[in-house]
Parts: sequence; structure tokens; C-alpha cells
Amino acid sequence: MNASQDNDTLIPPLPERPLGRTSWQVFVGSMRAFLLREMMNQFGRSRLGYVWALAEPAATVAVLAGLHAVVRGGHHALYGESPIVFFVFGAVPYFLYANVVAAAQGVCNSQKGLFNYRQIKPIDVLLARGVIDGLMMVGVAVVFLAGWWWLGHSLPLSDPLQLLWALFSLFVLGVSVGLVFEVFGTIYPDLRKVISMLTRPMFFISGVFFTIDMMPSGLREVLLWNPVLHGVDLTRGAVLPEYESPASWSYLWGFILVAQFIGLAAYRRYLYRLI
Amino acid sequence: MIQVHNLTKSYPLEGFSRYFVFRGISFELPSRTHVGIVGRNGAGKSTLLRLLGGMELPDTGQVRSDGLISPPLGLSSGFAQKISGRNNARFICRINGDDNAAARERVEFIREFSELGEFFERPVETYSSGMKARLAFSISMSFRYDYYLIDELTAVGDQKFRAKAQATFAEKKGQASIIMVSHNLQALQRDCEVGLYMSPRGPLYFDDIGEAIAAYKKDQNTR
Repeated sequence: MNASQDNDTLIPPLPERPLGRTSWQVFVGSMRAFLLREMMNQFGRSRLGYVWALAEPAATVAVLAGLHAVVRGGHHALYGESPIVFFVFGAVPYFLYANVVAAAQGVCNSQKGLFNYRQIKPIDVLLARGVIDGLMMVGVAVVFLAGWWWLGHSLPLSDPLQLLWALFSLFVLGVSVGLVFEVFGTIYPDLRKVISMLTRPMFFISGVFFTIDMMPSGLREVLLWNPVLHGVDLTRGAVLPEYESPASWSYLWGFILVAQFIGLAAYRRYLYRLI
Repeated sequence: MIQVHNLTKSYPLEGFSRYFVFRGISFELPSRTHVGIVGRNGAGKSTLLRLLGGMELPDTGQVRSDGLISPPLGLSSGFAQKISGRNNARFICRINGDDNAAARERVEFIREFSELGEFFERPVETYSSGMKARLAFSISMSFRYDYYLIDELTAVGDQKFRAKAQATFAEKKGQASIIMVSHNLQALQRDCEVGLYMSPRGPLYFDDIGEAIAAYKKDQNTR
């Protein structure tokens, strides 16, 4: 069909896009568009992309459960009916946080071309990536619970609402911390190295394979400064019926608010250098 | 009309020093008139264009306009590599607020205008640079703007497509502005009406593109 070339105009009248949208409408529209695009793009990158999301926590759980079986033998001193449940609900919340932080890293530099469209700002990309990675981890939890139930076990959920709330808290924590790291890491690239060095032991001190009350009291006071430990422990408290988590919601959310404030303030201040 | 008022833009150098691309410049560009911007390398032409489009934020000063300013045309760095040209086009429609029906109509226009054929359904990573530029150009042209920004439109595809692009500019005359940065002075002379010369003394506006080019050439010869 060469109709457009035969007419005198090259550009036929096309639908007008809505003008004068509020900034909230622009934000929601861009987020939706970017989410769809990223999901397609990730699937295009590797057909197994979503399977790999399952692999990392699954491998972690397998290694931890294996080690536990070797070291402790048959008699486990963990909460819950099975060490597998115990480790799954350490690995899922931890990787939820860690993957959301990781997803935020490098968005400013890798998506520079996108910021030519004024509708898209780094924070949109950061949030959308975080949502995708966060949802993947929630998916992992759902897959595990469904599989656990299918194998004939009872569903180990003592407080589903608290579980959702704890996972959501870790997601917000990941976005906030990721924003702080990304803003300062983009402005001072050397800082990225320091950050990655400092956050390397996070896996070991965030309660993936222990609860707060398993720690000796001297160590406990130090570890409790880590907000991720609070989040992971609260997740476990929501899942294991006999475990009452001593972690603090107010410390976790206090930390989130402070990190979020610093991140957003720095983002606002340095936006002109991020795009 | 685009009003640029007291605009300053600088970039950090090593240490605490800064490089000032321009300091406190002010000028006006008319609407519905094609503008050619000339100047030496590093005179701040591209930076100015990016500031006009809001891709970068100035240190001080402001840009005011009475109409819509496009993103720089023919810019292909924003595409997702693993998804098709169609899906990339649809993404741009969505962030501009199109509903599904409007997006479908617009994407159909983009498919036809870009003349990509079956490549329109293939991932962008399989495109040649000219094909990418054609897709980007077609997407920009599918939206109505009052000011279209173009930074060096040398890469827009082959001879045939370039002629088409030029015909589009001619068609836009009297309806919209095209603000074009180029080192191809003949193209500017042909496509533009008024000119802005980014001289070392600051921007100089000329009502006739020929005068702007003459001033630029004269400066170069005296050096």
C-alpha cells in the first residue's frame, strides 16, 4: 500500500496524543510502558531468564540444607518442621532485597539513551526494574509454597499478612538503598567499589541461615544494626508458627525512611548529572 | 517562540574547575520557521539543543517555549535491543500517553514510513545503523510537535530515505519549526530560513540563514 506516497502529504493526520497530562499520569504511563518493555527485553535476552531467577535461591537453599544435614545430622535445632522451609524463607527475603538493590545499580549509565525522552527519568527505570525483580522473588515464594503443598506437606504459613508486609518492607528497603547507592555511585564512580566491598558480607549477616535469637547476646547487639536482618527475621516470624521474631518493625521502617530521604534528596539535587 | 534567558551550562573538569560551554546567553527563536545552527566543534551547538529539549538541565537560566519541543530526532540509542522495531515504537507511543487504538494507528504509520519491511518485526539488534536511524526518524515524525530538534541528520539512511526526510521538512514549513544543527552548510542553506551562529562571543541570531553562514565562514577565515 503506497497510499501515503501518492497523496500530496507524506504524513497523514495521525491521532493526537493527550497533552497536559499531570505528572502522576505521565509517571504511571511511563512505568507501565517501561515494565512491559523490560519484561519483553529480558525474555529476549535469554529464554530461560525467568528460570534463572528461581535457580539462585534454589541453589542457596540446597547448599544450606545440605550443609545443615552434614553438620547437624538428623537432629536439627532449627525452627519449623523442615530445615528447607527455614532456609527458603531466609533466602527468598534476602534475595528479594539484594536483587532489587542490584537491579538499581547502573541504570543511569546503561539507559542514558532513554533519558532523551523527557517522560522517562532514572527513578522510573529504577523502580520498574525493582518491581520486576521483586515480583520474580515473590513468584519464587509462590512456586515453593505450591510445590510444598503438592508434596503433601501442610502450608507453613502462620501469618500470611505479616509475610506480605515483611516482603514489601524489604522491597521498599531495597529500592531506597539501591537509590542511594546508584545516585552516589554515579556521581563518584570510585564509591561503587567501596560499596560493593562493604556489602559483600551481607549474605552472612542478614539471617539467611540463622534467626536473631540464635545469636549470642554480644554479637546480637552488633548484628541488629543491619536492617535486612530485621526484615528477614520478620519474614520468618510470619512463616514459622513456633517462632516469635524479636526483630523491630519500627527500626526497619525508620531505616527505610532515612535511606529513602537521603536517596530522594540526593536524586533531586544531582538529577542534572544523572541524565 | 522559544525564549532562552540567561542560560549558563558548565561541566566539571578534573578537580574543582569547571568548563563553561556558555555563560549567560539569551536569544529568541521564532516559531513556524526552520532554524539552522552553525558553529565550530565545541561551540555548544549540541549542548544547546539538548538544553532546548530538556534532556539536560542548565546551571542557571531558563528556556521558555509556547509549543511542544521534540526529543532530538533520529536518536536511536534509546531502543531496547532485544525486542522488535514494532514493540519499540509501541513503547514510545505508550510513554506519550497513547491509548491502544491510537498507538495501533501510529505504529502502522511508522511501519509504512520507515520502509523497514520485514525487519520491523525483528529485534533492533539485527538492524544496521541506517535502519535504526530510519526507525527513530519515523517515530519522531509520527508525533506532532511545534519544534523538532535535529542534531546532524547525516546518518538517516540511504539517498532515497534522505530525500524523503527532506521532503518532510519542506512539508512542515509554515506549520512547525525545525531546529537543525549541522556542518553541512549546503543542506542548512537549502532546508532552513533563519540562522543562529554560535560564535566565540556568544550566539548571534540572523533573520536569514545565508547571513549566519557568511558570518561563520568569515570568522573561520580570519583565524
